[in-house]
Amino acid sequence: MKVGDVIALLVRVLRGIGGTDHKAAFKEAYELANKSAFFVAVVMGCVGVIMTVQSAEQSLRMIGDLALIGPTFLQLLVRELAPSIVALMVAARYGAGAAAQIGTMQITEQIDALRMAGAEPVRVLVMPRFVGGIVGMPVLVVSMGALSFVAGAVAAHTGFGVSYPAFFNARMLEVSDIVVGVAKAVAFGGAVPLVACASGFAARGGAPGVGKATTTAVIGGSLAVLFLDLVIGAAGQVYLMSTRA
Amino acid sequence: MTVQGRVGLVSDLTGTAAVSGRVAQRLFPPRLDGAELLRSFVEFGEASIPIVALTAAFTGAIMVLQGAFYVQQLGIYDLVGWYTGFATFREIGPVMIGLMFSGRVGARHASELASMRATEQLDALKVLALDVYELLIVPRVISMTVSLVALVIFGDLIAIASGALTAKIVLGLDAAHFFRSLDTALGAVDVLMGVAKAAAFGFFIAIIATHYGLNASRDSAGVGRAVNSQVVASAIGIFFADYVITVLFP
Repeated sequence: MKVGDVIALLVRVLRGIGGTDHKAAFKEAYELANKSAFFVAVVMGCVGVIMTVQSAEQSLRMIGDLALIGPTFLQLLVRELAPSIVALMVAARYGAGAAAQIGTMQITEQIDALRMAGAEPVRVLVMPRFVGGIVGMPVLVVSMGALSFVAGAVAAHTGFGVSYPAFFNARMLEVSDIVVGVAKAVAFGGAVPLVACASGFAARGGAPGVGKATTTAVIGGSLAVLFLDLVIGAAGQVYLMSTRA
Repeated sequence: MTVQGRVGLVSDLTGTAAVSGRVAQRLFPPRLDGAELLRSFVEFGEASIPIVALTAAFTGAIMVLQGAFYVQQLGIYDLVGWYTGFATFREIGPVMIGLMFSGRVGARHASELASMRATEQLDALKVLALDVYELLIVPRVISMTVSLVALVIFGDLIAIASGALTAKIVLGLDAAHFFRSLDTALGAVDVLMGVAKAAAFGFFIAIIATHYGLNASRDSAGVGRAVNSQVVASAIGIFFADYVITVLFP
């Protein structure tokens, strides 16, 4: 699979986006968000505790004050950690699953069968996943970000005696942070299924081919997330620095 | 048909424990295939260098960018090197590179074992009275653990360099200034914590991948499912181990 394949697939999906099967798209959103919820919750809970413990230790050492760890963690979570870590986990679970499914269909010639039966594979297999990702990912990011913040609050309270009102404080959070966070979630929600589908279609040659497609989906999806993260994050920073400087 | 990762907690915990036990058994005294050890160092370790470099370069730049606005607002230019270095060495470096490593190398190991199972090569080995642990698994567990340590050290350097470059471009901060702040605030313990994490992650990924590869169902869908479950379980393993290490040794 190459970057060009993903972009070509994106163009084909966007051209026919109006004719997406909404029911199938919601099923994929359910598959992506609800069924990953437990796994992502475990990871984001750990992330909340890890980040809080590390930043509390460092704040005590460098600044000597814990008043800011809640508000700064919330800001970092909204604009960076929640979208990117949730999307990386979705690439591992949902992306790998979709690539395995489509890869299996590809090597057993079910994709050709679809085409012979007059069903367009992109319309049947890719568009519902793309739309479902765009719908499902922001929901998962918001809920799991909230969970991670609560986990961090509990860690700060029990481990460092930070009061809950001091931790649950949104004074650092600005509209621009929310815009950047949601933009990332939507972009990742489209990118992860797209990369997964493209690597599934590129599968060749028996069982090892399916394994390779699955691996490519995880690596490609993760790199796409990191790349988009950098681009959207840079755009947000440039905007902020140009308006406030 | 469900191809999504399923993690049956009890059977997977006992399964990975059994794999660790069998690996440990063959380590004292060491019985393993030397040629496979060298081959897997090249194919798992060396071949991962580009992807690790790319990941590290992205994360280093993202980290500096995230803080850039505050640094500029509050004038805390002295802290850029410190926060980038601390986050890279202790958390982001091992975790991000570990995740990529599990996606590339762990997934490949699981998919190769699962394919061998699907094509009955594992049964053939058994008939020939050859031990798949000696031939494949133990060398790969060793090479994955050692490779991830080396890759994390290498990736840390790339991430720091990329962070310093981003700080220069975005904030106009001199590299000398950046590295002075990194050098005064951080010590060997920060680097060693990250390296210890990398060793733990590498070992867990290898064991988890082996478990899912050896227990895959014998068809092409099973290979995909094994890879999928491996990536999911490895991510949980990485974050959970990171959580335990961070809480125990802050």
